[in-house]
Amino acid sequence: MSPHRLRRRRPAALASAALLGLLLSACSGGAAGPATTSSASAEVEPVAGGTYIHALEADPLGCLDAPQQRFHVALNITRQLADSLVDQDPETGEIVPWLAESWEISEDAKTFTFHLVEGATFSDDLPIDAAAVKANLDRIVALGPKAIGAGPWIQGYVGTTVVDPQTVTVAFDRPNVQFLQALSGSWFGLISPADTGKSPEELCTGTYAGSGPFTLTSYTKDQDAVLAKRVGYDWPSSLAAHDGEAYLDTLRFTFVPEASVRSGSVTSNQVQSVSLVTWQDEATLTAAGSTLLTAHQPGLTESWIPNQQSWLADDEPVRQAIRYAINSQEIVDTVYGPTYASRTAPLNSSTPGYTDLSDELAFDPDKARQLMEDDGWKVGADGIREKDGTRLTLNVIASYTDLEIIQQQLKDVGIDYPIRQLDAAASSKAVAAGDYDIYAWTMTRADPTVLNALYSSTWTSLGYAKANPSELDDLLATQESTVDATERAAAAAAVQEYVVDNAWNIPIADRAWTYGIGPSSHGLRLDGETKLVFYDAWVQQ
Amino acid sequence: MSLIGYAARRLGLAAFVVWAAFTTTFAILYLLPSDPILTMLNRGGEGANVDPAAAAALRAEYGFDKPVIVQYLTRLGAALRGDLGRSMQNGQPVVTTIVDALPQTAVLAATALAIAVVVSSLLASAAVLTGSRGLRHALLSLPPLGAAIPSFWLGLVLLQVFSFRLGWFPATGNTGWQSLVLPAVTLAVPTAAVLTQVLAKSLGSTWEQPFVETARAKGLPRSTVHLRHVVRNGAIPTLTMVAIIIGNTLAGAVVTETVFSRVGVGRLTQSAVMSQDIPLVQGVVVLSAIVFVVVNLAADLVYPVVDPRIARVPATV
Repeated sequence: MSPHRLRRRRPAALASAALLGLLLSACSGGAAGPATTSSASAEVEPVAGGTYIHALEADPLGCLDAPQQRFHVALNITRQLADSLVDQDPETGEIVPWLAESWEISEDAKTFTFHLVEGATFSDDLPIDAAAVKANLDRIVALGPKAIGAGPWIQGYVGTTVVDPQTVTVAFDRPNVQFLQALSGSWFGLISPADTGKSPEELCTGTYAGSGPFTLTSYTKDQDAVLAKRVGYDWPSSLAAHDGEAYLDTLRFTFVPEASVRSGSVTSNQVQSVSLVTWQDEATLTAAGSTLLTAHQPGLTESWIPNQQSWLADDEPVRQAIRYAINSQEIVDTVYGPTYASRTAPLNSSTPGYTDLSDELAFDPDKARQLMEDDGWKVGADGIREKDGTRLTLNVIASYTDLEIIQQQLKDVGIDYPIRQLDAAASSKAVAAGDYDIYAWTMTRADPTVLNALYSSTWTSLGYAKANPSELDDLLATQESTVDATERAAAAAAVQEYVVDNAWNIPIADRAWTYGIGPSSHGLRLDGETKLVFYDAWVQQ
Repeated sequence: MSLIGYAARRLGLAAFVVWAAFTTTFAILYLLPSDPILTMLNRGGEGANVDPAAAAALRAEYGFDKPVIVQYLTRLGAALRGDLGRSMQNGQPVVTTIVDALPQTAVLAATALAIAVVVSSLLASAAVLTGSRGLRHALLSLPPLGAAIPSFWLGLVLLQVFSFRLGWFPATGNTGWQSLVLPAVTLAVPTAAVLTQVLAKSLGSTWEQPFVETARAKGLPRSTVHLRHVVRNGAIPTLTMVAIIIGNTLAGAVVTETVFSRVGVGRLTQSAVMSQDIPLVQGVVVLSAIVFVVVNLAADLVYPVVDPRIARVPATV
């Protein structure tokens, strides 16, 4: 269908919508028109040009330098500014070419060689070559603890060798299979070697020349980030739907903290799409002709992670009892809504290497009670169990919205869980001090290595488990040194079984992201780590 | 007391207030159970498990390993030179961050204040001048209602009707006068409520003054008496409240700017407090103290213009 025909269609659709609105009621009008255009859009040709506005749920915490960020809002912006060496197919988890057209991994999984595409440049016209890759990786390592996002995945970095302008070799002192998938994330997006020497503070302002289909025009804290199409761009990921430059002239991210304001903005066509649609707003959006883009968040399921330096480490029956006492389906039904799913493994169902352990993770409160009875935890006067005069009370650091229902579920089997309200600063301090029995956490990472980061006794960067050396280290080492995808999935399954069987990981719920897409938005997609990709997006004028 | 002595005393007091605000926030923020370095390495809201050695290195780099008194004096010295440090969140200078956001809040607050003054003057005058008891009661019951409506809720209702349904105004942002209307109205309502209440009361009591009777006896029409004599006298108590009103407006900006997704000092305050960005919180508090001091000073200078009698008596603080 040609753009001309499209333009003719739209007023007619709107007019019929207006008429419907008059006939029915002021509130329900407008729904029919946009829905029609939206469903017709699947077949229409993309139209280049125009401005697209996407409302994010927060300011990117004042920093647009991806390696320094763990916050998804910032990564959704930087994804458009800096391309990666490889991309990941969100459907299959397969790693596919992007700025690297091919690569080899050594048998010991310590050395990675990349062959770069020719002709790609940064927005300051410097070539995207082997030296640029080296400058980027070196600077991430030099950031040290400030590389909050990228740092954990480049541990054991020995160095990068420029073989020739299009060939580069990255070496590690240990097997590091996950590095290939890590490179597909926004964290490792490439910026110009002319800017890699800038201070971390300066790079936070986003003033760097990137490799992506958009460049940053301006960023105003709490207001917006305005991006412009990179003229001459022609090195999209192999997953892209088209070649050449991006369709949009201007891409504007606004920061709208109120969920209902985001919903209203997309239903009244003030923005093309919005992030973080709440369960309560989903029906409003679809009724007004918007569609929902949902994806299960690959990586760690929302999990309770026992601290291996706390008393829980020596009381496996209580850990197991917590595992059986959690009713995940009830949590999803009452708190999160149908886009989430009940727990089936420590890894979310969309993660490569995921294995279904739903039988092991069944809800069984009687078994929970029995385990604690046998362990000497007897029900006291107020229904909470006691042993040798000690009440069964859990010290948990958690900031999710399901705490009250979990509290109720645990109380039903005689476990006391007083909800502990901590802000980010206080919880950092409590983590550093080891002041918790259990840490509740989830993390986006489309690779089973998230379990290694959590449970390895040697890779401590995200080690909320504060793991002791154990046979789990061997299982994790196998996972991190197995290059073959099928064999690695088997290794990851063994890790998941181990942490569930020993109740070192108590999954709570399989999380999902929901984006609201207005009728004028087309071609928006998600990358392997559920970040927005605007390269193929276009807006109906 | 000479005029110069009076001015010097006022300025000295102003400086003391700003210093006290700086010192108090420093004390409170350093007594809080948090660690600025861990907060910085925790961008994204999760409790980061940071390598203690790396954290210690950064602590030294930022000077947080020094004794509290040394940190205090260093920061105070820098503040005197106009340097309030850098945000822990993104390393940008605090002064620049605040100066960037300030004009937006100033425009919003000034518009809201203007709306509040006009609305409250009209309401209070109408309530005083009307002959109908019923109308007066109706008008005077508006202020408590206005004060009782939560700004948060009011903002969302205005958005729902005038932005999402009618499409008259944009829901978010700082672009153009259209984006200013709904947030300014939201912010004006509680201020107008307070002003109306005070103004109606003071206009009412001024109408009962003997000089009003004299003016009336001279045959002046009610409207002339009201504008020329009553308003001038009756407005003085509201001037006294101006500092409180400015304070309320700044506080209201936190909610209003968040609901309407606007740039401004209010939203900056909210995010700085949430992330315990100590230098930024301190900067915002010092700024608020300066605003209070300046507004109070200005109010003192305006009194004599409104009421020439005040100029003849040395003002006391």
